[in-house]
Amino acid sequence: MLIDLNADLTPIKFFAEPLTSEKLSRFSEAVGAKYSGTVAPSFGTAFRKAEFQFLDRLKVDFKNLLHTDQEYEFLGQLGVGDIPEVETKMLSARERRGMVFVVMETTVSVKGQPKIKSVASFILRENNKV
Amino acid sequence: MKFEVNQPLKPLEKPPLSREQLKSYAEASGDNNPIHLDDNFAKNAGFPSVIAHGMLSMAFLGDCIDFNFPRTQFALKKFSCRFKKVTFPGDVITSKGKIKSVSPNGSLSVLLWAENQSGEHTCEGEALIEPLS
Repeated sequence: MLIDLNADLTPIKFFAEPLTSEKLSRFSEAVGAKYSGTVAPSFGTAFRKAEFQFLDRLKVDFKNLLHTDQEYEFLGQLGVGDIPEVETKMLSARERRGMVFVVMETTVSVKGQPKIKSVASFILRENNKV
Repeated sequence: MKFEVNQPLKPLEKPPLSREQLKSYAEASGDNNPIHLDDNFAKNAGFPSVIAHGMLSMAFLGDCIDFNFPRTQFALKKFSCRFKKVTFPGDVITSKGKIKSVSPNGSLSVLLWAENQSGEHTCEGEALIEPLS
């Protein structure tokens, strides 16, 4: 079995550390971009902690995990000093033809106002098969 | 600024991917999957060496969006990406794109893709961008 079908899949909610210019600039530097004081388009990836928690709960073998799709919808601006509240939900985890397809949705809010909604899709292969 | 369908974006080429960059990106993003950091782990997964984070390629596309559509003039509303091919240290990734459609209110739908040095698409995406009024 590729995943633990009895895993706890209740949504995970947490407060991320406050956004600082150091954190934002470190992300921009890591992707070879110039930090201009704004949040990089894919910075939402820094709020994926709960996705990894879900993958741990599902007992996913990371060797067999492929991140296949990522979507972001920007509903507002994040900025320095914000304390993002992150909620991740498991939208689906289904097995088909020897592979498992996992889809998770994460909403990043500040003071109750949604700022980023993201959907991440993964495929779990069996024994390194694509 | 006027845009037309199929108008190409200014491409953005990055320096070759390095293991140091993968470490930096892992720290900055919180994605510490050992497949990006540990050669033995990556080999056990069937790859010849560590592979770059797919999200790093998406970040390159994001940088290409900012390069072509400065935040002082445009707002990014949606951004999606499908990962097509793994990338490795040493690969040279160039982000490219073109205008897919222009709506009457000036909103732009933009196709994006990242190419390796062989011209293979490593990821393909789309963005919805609105001009600031």
